[in-house]
Amino acid sequence: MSVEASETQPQDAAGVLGPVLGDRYEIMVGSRLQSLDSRHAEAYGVRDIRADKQQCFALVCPREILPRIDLIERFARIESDSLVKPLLWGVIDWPPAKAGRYAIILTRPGGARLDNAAGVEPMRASDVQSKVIRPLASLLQDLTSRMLTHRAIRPDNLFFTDDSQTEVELGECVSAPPAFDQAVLYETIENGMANPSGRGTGTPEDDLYTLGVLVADILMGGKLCHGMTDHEIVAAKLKVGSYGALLGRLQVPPKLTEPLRGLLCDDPRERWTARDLWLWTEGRQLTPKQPILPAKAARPFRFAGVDCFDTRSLAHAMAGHWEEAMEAVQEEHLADWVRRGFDAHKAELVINATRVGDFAPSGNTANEDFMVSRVMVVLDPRAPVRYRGFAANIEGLGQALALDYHRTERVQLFAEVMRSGLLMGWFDAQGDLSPELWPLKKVIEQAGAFLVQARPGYGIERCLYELCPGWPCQSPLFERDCVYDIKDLLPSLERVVQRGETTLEPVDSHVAAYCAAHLKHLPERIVNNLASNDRNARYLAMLRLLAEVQRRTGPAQLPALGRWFAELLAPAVETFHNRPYRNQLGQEVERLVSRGVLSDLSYVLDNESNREADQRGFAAARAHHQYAARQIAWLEQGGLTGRENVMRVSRQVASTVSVVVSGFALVAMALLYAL
Amino acid sequence: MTDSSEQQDTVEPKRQIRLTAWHKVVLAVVLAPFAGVLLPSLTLLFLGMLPTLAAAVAERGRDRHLAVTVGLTNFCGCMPLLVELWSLGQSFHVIGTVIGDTYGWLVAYSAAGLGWLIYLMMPPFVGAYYKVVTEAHLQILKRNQRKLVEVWGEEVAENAKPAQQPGAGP
Repeated sequence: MSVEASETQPQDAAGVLGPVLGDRYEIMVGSRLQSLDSRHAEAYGVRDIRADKQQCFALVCPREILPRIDLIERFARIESDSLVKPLLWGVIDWPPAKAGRYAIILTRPGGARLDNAAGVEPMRASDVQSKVIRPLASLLQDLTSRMLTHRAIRPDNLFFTDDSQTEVELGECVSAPPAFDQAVLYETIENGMANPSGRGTGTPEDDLYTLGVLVADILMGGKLCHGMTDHEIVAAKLKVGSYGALLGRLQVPPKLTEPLRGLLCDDPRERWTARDLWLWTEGRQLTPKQPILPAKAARPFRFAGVDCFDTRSLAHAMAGHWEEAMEAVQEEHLADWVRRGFDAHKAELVINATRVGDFAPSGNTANEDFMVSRVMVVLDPRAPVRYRGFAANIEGLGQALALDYHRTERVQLFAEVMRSGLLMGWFDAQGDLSPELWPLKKVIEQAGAFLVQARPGYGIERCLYELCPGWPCQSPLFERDCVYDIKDLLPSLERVVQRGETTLEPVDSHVAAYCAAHLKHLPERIVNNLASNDRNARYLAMLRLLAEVQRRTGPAQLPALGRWFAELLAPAVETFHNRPYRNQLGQEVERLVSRGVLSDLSYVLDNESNREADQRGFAAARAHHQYAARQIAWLEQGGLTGRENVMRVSRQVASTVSVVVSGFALVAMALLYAL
Repeated sequence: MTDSSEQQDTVEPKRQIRLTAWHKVVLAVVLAPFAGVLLPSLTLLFLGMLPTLAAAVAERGRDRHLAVTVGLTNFCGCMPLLVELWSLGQSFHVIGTVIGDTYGWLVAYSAAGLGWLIYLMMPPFVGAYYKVVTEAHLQILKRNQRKLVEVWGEEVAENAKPAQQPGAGP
C-alpha cells in the first residue's frame, strides 16, 4: 500500500540516516544491493522493523522515470510465487539526493538472475518447460484475469526461486514504465517499431509474445538474432513472420515447436492465450498455428536498396530512411505499385495522403514530413504513428511525451504530431475502431485543443498531464519533493514554503496544468489571469486555484502557504483606498493565515463586491474633496465677501428691511388712527 | 432640426407684458375717473414722494432696490398728510391747509431719509456678516477634506479640478 514516509529516520549500519516507509520498512542507505538493481532504480537493503525474517529489498526510483503507480497496488494483490511483488511503496525523503524519491519495497528473489554475468545459460527443452514456461504460464493467467500486463519479461528480469534453480520467478515490473526497457527483439512487430518510451501498456497478448521470445532466447543461450540491428529484426519479422525470423533457420526442440508457434504468432487474435499455454503444460494438444504472412506484390518496390514485397515492409523501410522516403512518396511510381500489387482503393489512399499538403507553401519540410507519415499510416495502419524520430503507439503517446519531456527536440516533434492531424488520420485508417480506442481518441482530441492554447493551465504541460495522468508534477518548485498525486500537491507546496524556498511563484505553468488535468470540471475562471502582467491579479488567480485544490483535496490547514500568499498579496491589500477597511482587512488576513484555509483567504482578498464598493466610495470621496476644494477656492477668492456680492445682497436686504419697517409703521398708524 | 435634448435645454425667455396703444387707451379710460376723484390725494402724494422720485432717477439698473427702500418708508411718512387731507374732505379747497403743515412734511421727508439711511448702512453689515460666514464655511470645508484624506488617503486629493471663478459659485 502507498504510504507517507515516516518522520523518523534511524541510522543504518553505515551511519547514514535511513528513511522508514510505513513505520515498518527501514531502507538502509548504506546497504546497496547492486545485484537486485533494476534498469533504472537502485536496490537497497531493507530492515523489516516488525519481522526481521522477511526477505525484502527496496528499489529507489529516479525522478526521470515513472513507476507504474496506478497499477502497483493491483500487482501487490497477486498471490503467485512466480513474481517479485511489491509490498509497500510511497515517496520518501532520500538522504543521498536530499530530495524526495519514490521507493518500492519488494519481496526478495530467492536465487540469482537467469541472465547473469556469463549470459543466459542454455537450457534443455524439458527444463524450459518445467522451470520457465509452467510457472510463467500460471502467472500470466493470473495477470490476464486481472487485466494486467507485465511488459518486462526478459532474461535479466528473471530470477531463480532458489539456489537449486528449480524454477524461475519473474522480476518486478513496477519501477519503470511498461516495456520501456524491453529489447526490440522481445517486442511484437508493432511495439518494436515504436520508440521504447512510446510502447504503451500493451495487452496480455504482448506478454505472451514476449514469453515466446524469452523461451526461444533461453533455448539459444541468449544468442537469438545475435548481430542483427533492431531495424533488421523488425524487417525480418515483417518479411517471414516472427517465428520464421527468430527460429526459421534454427533447430527447435520438437517439444517446444507448438508453443513457440502459438506464442510467436504475429496476429494477436490468433496468438496463444495464457490459458492455451497452461493447457499445453498440462499435456493438452492444441491446433498448431501457422504464420500468417502479409499479402505480397508480384513485383517488388525497390526502396533504399531493398526490395519490398509488401506495404508493411515498405513502410518500415521508409521509417528507417526518412530522407529517401520524402522523395519516394512524391513519385507516382509508389501509387502504381500499390495499385498493381494490392488494390486500387489503397492506391487511392496513398495518392490522397500525398495530396493533403499540396496547398501548403512549397519548400516546407514539415509538410513533406507529414506527407511521409500519412503515407506510412496508409501503408501500415497497425504500425505506431511515426514522424521523423518520433514513433509511438497511440496508447503510448502520453508516456512518450512524459519520458522524453526534457528532450526538447522530441517534445517539438510531439507537438508537431499533435497539431498536424496525423493522429486523427491514424484513427481513421483503423477502419472499425475498437471500443477501447474511442475514449483515447477523445482524450487526444482534447489534448490537441489544450496544446494550442499558450497560457498557464494549457499548452504542452496540460497535454503531458492529460495524456499521462500518473506523471509527477514537473514544476521546479518540487525539485526536492515528488508530487505523484494531486493530494500531495499542497502538502508538498507547504513543505517548500516551510523550507523557505520561495524564490519562485507558488503556481507556475506545470502546477496550473497539473491541477487543471487532475481536478475534473475546473471552472475556466479559476485558471484565468494566471499569466496576468498585473502582479496582484496574478497572485489572486494563483490563490483562487490553490484554494480550489485545497477545497477538493485538502489538507484542512496550510498556514505556511497562507502566510506566503499573505506576503505576496500585501500590495493587493494596499490597493484598497479605504484606510479603515484596509486595516480591518489586514487583521482579517492575519487571522485567516493562522487558520490556513486558502478559500477563506481567497474570499476575503478576492472579493470583487468589496473592491467595487471601495472604488465607488473612493470616487465619491474624490468628488466630495474636489467640490470642497472648489468651494474653498471660491470663498478664499472673495466669493461671498467681494464688493459686488456684498452690494448686491445689501440692496436686497435694504429693500427687505424697508418692507418690514414700513409694514410695521403702517400697522402702527392704522391702530393709532383707529383708536 | 434640433433634437429633443436640445429642445429641453433651450431656456424659454420670460414673457414681458407689453401694452399696446389700444391697451393704454382702454386703461386710461378706465382709470381716468378714479384719477379725477383722487386728484387731490395724488397731488399731495406727488409732492410728498419727491425724494423717492429723486432716488428712482438717481438709481441705475433694473432692480430698483433704492427706489423701493426709500419709496416704502417715504410712503409711510406721507400717510399722516393723506389722513389729514381725507379727514378735511379730500378736495383742492383744503389741500392748501394740508400743504401748509410743516410738521407733516418733516415726517414725510424724514421717513424718506430713513429709507436712504437703511440703504446706505446695509453694506457694512452684510460685509461683516459674510466675512464671519466665510470663515465658518472654510473651517467646515477644510475639516471635511482632512477627514476624507484620513479615510481615503492623499490620493483622494489628486487630480482636483481647477477652482471656478469667484462669483460663479462652486
